[in-house]
Amino acid sequence: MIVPVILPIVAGLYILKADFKERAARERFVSAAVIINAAIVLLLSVIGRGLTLSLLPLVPGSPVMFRIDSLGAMFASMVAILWILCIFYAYEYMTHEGGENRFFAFYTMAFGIMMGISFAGNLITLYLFYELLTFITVPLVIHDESIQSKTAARVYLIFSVSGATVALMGIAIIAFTAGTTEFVYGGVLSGVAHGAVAIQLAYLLSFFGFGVKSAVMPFHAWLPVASVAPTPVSALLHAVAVVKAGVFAVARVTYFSIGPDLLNGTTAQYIAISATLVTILYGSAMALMMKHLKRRLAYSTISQLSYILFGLALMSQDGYVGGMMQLFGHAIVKITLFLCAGAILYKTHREYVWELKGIGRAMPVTMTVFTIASFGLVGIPPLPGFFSKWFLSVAAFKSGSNALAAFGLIILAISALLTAIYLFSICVNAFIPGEGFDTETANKGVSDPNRYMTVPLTILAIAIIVFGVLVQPITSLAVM
Amino acid sequence: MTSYILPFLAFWPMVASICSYLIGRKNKQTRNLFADVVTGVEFLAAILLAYTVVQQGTQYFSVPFWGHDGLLFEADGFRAIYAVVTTLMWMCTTIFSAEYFAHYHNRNRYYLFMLMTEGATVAVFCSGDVLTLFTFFEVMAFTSYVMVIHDEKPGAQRASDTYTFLNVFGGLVTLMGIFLLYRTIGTLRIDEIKELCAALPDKRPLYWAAGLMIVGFGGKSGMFPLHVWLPKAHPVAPAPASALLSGVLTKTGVYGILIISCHMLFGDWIWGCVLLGIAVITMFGGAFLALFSVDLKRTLACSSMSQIGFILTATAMQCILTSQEETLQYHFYAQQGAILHMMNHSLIKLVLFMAAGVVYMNLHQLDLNEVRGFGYRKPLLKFIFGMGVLAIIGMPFWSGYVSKTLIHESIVERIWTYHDYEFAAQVFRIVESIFTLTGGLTTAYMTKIYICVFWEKNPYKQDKMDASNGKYMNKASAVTLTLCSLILPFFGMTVYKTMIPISEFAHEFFYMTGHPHEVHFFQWMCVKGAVASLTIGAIIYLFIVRGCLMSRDENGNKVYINAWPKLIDIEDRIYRPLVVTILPFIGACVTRAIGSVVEVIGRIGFNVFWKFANWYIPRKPNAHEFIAKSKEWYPKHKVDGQKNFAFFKKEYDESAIETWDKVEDNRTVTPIERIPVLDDIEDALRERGRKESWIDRLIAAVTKGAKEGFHIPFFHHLFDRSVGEFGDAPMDAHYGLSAMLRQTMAYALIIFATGLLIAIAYVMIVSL
Repeated sequence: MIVPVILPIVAGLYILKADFKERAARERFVSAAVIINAAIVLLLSVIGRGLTLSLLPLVPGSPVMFRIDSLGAMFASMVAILWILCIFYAYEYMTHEGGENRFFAFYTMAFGIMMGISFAGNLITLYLFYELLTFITVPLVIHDESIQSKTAARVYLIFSVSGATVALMGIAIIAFTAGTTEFVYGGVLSGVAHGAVAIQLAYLLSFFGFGVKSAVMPFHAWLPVASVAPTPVSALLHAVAVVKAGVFAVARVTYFSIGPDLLNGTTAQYIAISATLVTILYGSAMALMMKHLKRRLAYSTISQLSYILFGLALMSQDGYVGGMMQLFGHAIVKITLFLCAGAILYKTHREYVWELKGIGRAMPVTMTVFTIASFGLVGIPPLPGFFSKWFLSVAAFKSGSNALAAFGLIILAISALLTAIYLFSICVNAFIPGEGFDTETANKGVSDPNRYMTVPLTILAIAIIVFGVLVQPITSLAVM
Repeated sequence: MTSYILPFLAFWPMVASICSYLIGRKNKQTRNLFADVVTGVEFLAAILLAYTVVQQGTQYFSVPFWGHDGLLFEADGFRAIYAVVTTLMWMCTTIFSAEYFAHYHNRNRYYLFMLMTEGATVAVFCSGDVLTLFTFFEVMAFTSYVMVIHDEKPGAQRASDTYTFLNVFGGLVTLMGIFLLYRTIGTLRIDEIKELCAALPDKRPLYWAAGLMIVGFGGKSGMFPLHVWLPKAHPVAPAPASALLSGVLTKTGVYGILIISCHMLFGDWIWGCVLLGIAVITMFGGAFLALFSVDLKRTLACSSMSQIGFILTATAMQCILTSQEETLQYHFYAQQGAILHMMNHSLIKLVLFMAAGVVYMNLHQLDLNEVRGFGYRKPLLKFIFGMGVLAIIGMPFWSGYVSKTLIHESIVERIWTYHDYEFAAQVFRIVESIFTLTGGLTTAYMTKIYICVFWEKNPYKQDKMDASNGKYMNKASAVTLTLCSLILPFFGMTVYKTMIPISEFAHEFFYMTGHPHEVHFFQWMCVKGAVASLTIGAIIYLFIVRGCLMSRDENGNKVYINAWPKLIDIEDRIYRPLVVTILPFIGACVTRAIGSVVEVIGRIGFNVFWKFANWYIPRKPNAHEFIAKSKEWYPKHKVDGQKNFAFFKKEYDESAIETWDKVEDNRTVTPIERIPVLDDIEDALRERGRKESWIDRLIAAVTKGAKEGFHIPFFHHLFDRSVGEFGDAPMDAHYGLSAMLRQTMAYALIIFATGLLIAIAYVMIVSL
């Protein structure tokens, strides 16, 4: 079970060494590596539940350890599937960016690191791969080597490493108190009193430490900056892998290390919830103000990630389920939105929202997919966003605190309204530019991208609908 | 009983819509025919459903795995009736659409969304739990949006913006109400709601839930004060879409309100009174607006609002009548009035809007002065429209009379159970007089448009109007319209054979109990109400419409004046300013304030940490120096290239110039994202004549921002756009990865050390 972690890293190193000259050869190699790895991951996720593997002892009491449990398996499968789609998309997209050998090398390596995070069996292992993920993704952010991307990479590094360091202190307190950092659903801190100050401190440290990667206020600033990266990176890393790694780590700490019962009703919980609610509103409001499409999506990500953290911070089974639903739903929806934005950028070099007027006539597939994903994100009933909001609200109601529930609910509603405004305005203008708008001139030479892009997009659009319909059974797999 | 007709009704049009789209790309004629067949099959399925319900009682179908608790479809009498009405209307408008849309663009898109809307609408009426209802309600809201905006004219865009905003906003508020309901009673099944709600000791959460839910449902049904989209959207939507919007889609809102008042708050006096107040305003307001309109379809739209008011009055009366023992026996008046008026209004508006569509199809005009005299020599259209008019004004022997009489009776019965001196009796007297007055207004405005279009001659271009005689609509449309219009007198004349059984068929949904009393519709007792309304209508028409709302133009001909009361347009006076200006302003201020707080924290953090981290990295010129230099050299570099450029390059390297270019570019990007770039801040500083520090810069920027519209600089903007504005941090754009890593490590170390100190201190304190 260490294979899915090692294989992509080795493959990535090989790409760096071999320095492929031919595009086709590299594509074959990368596809093979990613698909084989994804297949192994899916196989392990299905049959390998409960497998444990301990390697060298890194810290006394906490060796590097892998274990496959429901949450990890679901997370890994999701990442693996999305990775395959993205890699095909990236073949086409990266042709206009250049430097593909380095790009695909690190892109593939990041896959292995993500598997390390998903299958990590204790906090130390999680932390190890979490740090590695930061470093392995820097070359991807910095890809076009412009001054913006260098700044972005610097900001990203400073934020992530500092955050991880803070989280490490939280982990240290947990390890010190419990003597072990293994993951057990419900927590390992059995002998500690409810709401002990040390535990609250540990929770807050790790919440905000890991929260840096999931862009919780006031540590969100790196994410919009990092959206200068090539679209496959923004899509996969800044909508799915990296940011979700932060959320995943918070989920692990909250539900598998400390245990929600110890924290329910404490000050730490209220601080965390307040931070997420402020972030939800702030992200949506900022997204509305942004006219740059990818930056708008980045702010939208900030807002949507805090939905997950909000669910996790509710410290209940329902909150956890709602959070996980939002985690999977948002991953698939946001990656679609980013890939659509990338397709537009690739075909037309248009980055700003007002440039998209009437583009739906020329790029029907892309914009239809974009529209479906928008509906999914806003939460129009049969699609995923609706059910995650539903479960989050139900969890907020069950939390026992009326003020919290009412407040959370109102914020979710306002945020949904803002989301609707900033996404639907794009869709409407794209398809219905209005009478008298010269669509022909505006769309001169614009067409849908080729199969490498449209097929992943179509698959994702179908997946959004299917996920929306089957959200209950899928999520229950992760929560078992 | 499980019935597979229910999911078929919901999903067949949705599947077919995609087929129709694909067919439409190949052949338009086949597509039209296909759509007719689809809606026809849907209609037959609805009939079959109604037949099954008659035979076997309530039908169910559930899709367990979907979403939260699965989808649940249910059909009892009421829902079956409404499924039939909906599918009938869809079939008729689809047949009519083929001719109406003959010269339109984007017809394929219209058919795609029209069919999808049909599936969603039928599913709304056949929903068995509130979540299913809400799901399809939202789907319907978005698919119908495309039908409203079809023309893509500025008016249509504006109206559909309002429509969709109201939908999204109303949907979210309704969803909150549904949450509250779910939390309070723990289920959303419509047939369980009533008992659980009645058993609740504390009704307050229910009032909250009802108050929230009615925002979405009321908005859709055109209830005051959320009616604003209705008079705007109907005139600009294509006529078949208007017929559907007005006839069916508003009824989905009414259906939601029925769930609130007949299930959640069954027999609740307070809710009944509140709803009655709103309903009376809606009823009277719609009729009042319609009187001033000189746009054919806008009159009909306002009339829809008014008729919805009648239906809501019936619903409210049902709540009021069931709330007390002594009036319980009369509640069937209100219930039968509600269901029958819903059905009648759908069918009447189908006829009227399609007839108006025929006018528009030929003339492409809707202004009364322009379409005047169109029907002067067109007997068939005159007959069709006349049937609609007679039905809607409540003429005895037409269908509208029956339902209006029932609603009127319900109010009268309520008055009779009071003593004359009681305050409540006076209030209900006033309600009754407003009801009669509104009936009069209905007569007046319908007479106005009927006489204008069909009885008067056009003083200027009667020849042009008569040119299309005999060929103004094709056979299919003519047959459809005639048949639809014949339903109205047919129902009205065979009350006891058709309408009363239909309303009794719906008893289950309304919890109707006991045996309804015989109502003698054709005795003087009942007829006198209608006569009063018609008389008032005639007086209003003669004195107000002919007297005040018409004037003579320069040639001495009487024309209609556009007296549309713009002053009381709630949308333009309140909603638009609120949503477009005031709320975003407040929101932007709050967001920017939060952003600034974060920025200040960040700046303090960076200033503090930078003092430490500085030891690790050699000093480079800071932002201020960089800008000063660049400003000095940039113009020269542009004018006289190589020499200065070389100097610049030596000093700051190429990437720095690139930065400066980018900063310059940013200034032209967009007003909203514009940041007060370096110049603004520097100018402000120069004015102040003080030594710079980060706090000075911030103050300067805020001062300037306040003047120009709150462009306070943000942390992320600083990172994002102009590297030059990064406080005292070095311009290390040309530093490379190793310097970055060192810097990062420095930060990390400092944070870690601080944390470690805190941790050690903490452990020491705890162990002490």
